[in-house]
Amino acid sequence: MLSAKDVRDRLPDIVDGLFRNIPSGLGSRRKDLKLSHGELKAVLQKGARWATAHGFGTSSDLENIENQGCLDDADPDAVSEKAYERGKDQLGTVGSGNHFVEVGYIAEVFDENAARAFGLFRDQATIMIHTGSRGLGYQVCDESIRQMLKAAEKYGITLADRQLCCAPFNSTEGRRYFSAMAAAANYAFANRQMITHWVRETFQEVYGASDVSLGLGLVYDVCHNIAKKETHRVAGKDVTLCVHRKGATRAFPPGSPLIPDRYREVGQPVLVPGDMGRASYILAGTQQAMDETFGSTCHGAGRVMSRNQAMRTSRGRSISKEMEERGVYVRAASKATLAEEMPEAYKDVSKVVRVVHRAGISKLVAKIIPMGSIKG
Amino acid sequence: MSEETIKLQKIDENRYIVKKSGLMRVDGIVYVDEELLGYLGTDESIKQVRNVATLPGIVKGSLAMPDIHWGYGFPIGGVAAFDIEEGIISPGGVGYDIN
Repeated sequence: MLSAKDVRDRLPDIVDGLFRNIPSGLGSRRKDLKLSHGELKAVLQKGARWATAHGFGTSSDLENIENQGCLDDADPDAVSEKAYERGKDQLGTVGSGNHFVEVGYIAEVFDENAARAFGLFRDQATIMIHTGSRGLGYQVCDESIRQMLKAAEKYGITLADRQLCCAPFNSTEGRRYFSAMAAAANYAFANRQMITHWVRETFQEVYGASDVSLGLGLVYDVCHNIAKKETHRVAGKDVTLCVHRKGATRAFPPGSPLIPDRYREVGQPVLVPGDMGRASYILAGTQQAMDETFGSTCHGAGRVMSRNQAMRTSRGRSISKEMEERGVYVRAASKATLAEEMPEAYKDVSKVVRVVHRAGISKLVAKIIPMGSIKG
Repeated sequence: MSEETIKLQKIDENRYIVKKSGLMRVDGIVYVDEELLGYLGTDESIKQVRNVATLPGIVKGSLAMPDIHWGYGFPIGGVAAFDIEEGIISPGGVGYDIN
C-alpha cells in the first residue's frame, strides 16, 4: 500500500511517467493503438469488458464499475461512420478540458465504516481518473441534436429553448439516440479501464513492485453524464423512467442490488473531483437520494468562470508554477488548458459536498488532497 | 422563454424551489445553500431548471445539484427523469461529454 509520503518522494517520476504513458490534450491519440472498424464495434458493444478481455486490467475490476462497465442498450450500428473515425485512435487517452489523471492522498476520513468498506484510510495514496468518450461521444451528441430538432417538430413537442430538442423515448429517433449514447458510454468505460491499466504500469515502473502489492485496486468507476433506464418508486408505485444525469452522479443506497456486494452495507461510492489545487471527495449514496433525487448527487465543483474569463484572469501568470508552490506537480499538454482549469475558475468543492451531505442525498466519506496531475 | 428573473424560494438550508408556473409541468428543486446561491446570480442555469420542467413526461421535479452551472439546454448539475411511456429523451440532458 502506498502512503502519501511514498508518492511525494517519487512525485516527478510518477507524474512524468503518467504523462508519457497516457496521451492527453485536445485530439490526443495513441500511436500504438489504432482500432479497426470491427474492433471498435466490439468496444462499443462490450465497454470495459472489451478492455479486460484484451489484458487491460482484470475482470475483478468490472465488479467495481457502474453497470459492470457495459450498457446492454448499446447499439454500435446507431453510431455514425464519422464518430467511428474520431474514435479509432483515441481509446486510452485523457483528452482536454477538465479531464485529468490525478495523484493525491486521503487527508481526512469522515465515515470510518464506509471508508473501511471502500478500502480507504487516512494518508493513503490515491489516483483518480476523469475522462469520458472523447471525440466519439462528442460526435454522437452533435449529430443527435440535429436529428432531435427535427424530431421535436415532428412529434409536436413545444420547446422552451431549442437546445432542449428531444424525442419521445419510445420513438425511432429517441431509441436511436439512446442506443448510440449507450454505445458512446461503453467507449468511455473502456477508455478509463485502459487508462487504469497504464496507471498501474506506470506505478510498477516507478516502484518496481506489482500493482497488487502497491494497493492499486479499483474503488469505483461511475458516470456523470448519462441517461439511464431505471426503476424508481414515485408516489408509492414502482415506475420505469429515463433518468438524465448531466453533471450529476448516481448515488445508490445501502442495500441496492445494483451496487457491488462489498459496498452493500454502506452505499455506492461516489467520486466528486474538485479543481486541481484544492480537494476531491469520496461520498456514499443514501436512501434519501433514492427518495428525493432518483438516486443522484453532485459531480464536481462547478465552474464559476467561463473558459475565456479564466484565460483573461490568468494572463501573465504561470499556473504550473503556482500549482507547484501549492505542492501540486502538474504536467499539461497545453498551457491554455491549465489556465482554463486554474482552481479559482471553480467553486470550492468542499462547499458543494457540504450541501449534499447536509441535505442527506449522499454522505461524506473521505477527502482527497491532490499532489500531482496530468491534464490536457 | 422570456427575460424575467426567476424566483427561487427557500425550502430549508439546503433546498430552494422554483414553483411550478406557466408551462412548467413540475417544480424545480435546487440543492444549494445561501453561500453557493451567490454564484448563481450571473448564470442562466436557474432558467434552464425551469425550462427543463416544461418537457413532456417529466416526473416529480426538475432537479439541480449544488455544482449547477450553465450547460447546453439542460444545466450541468441537473437531474431530470421522464416517464418511459409518456416522456422524452434529450441529448442536451446528457451533454457532449458522454458518460
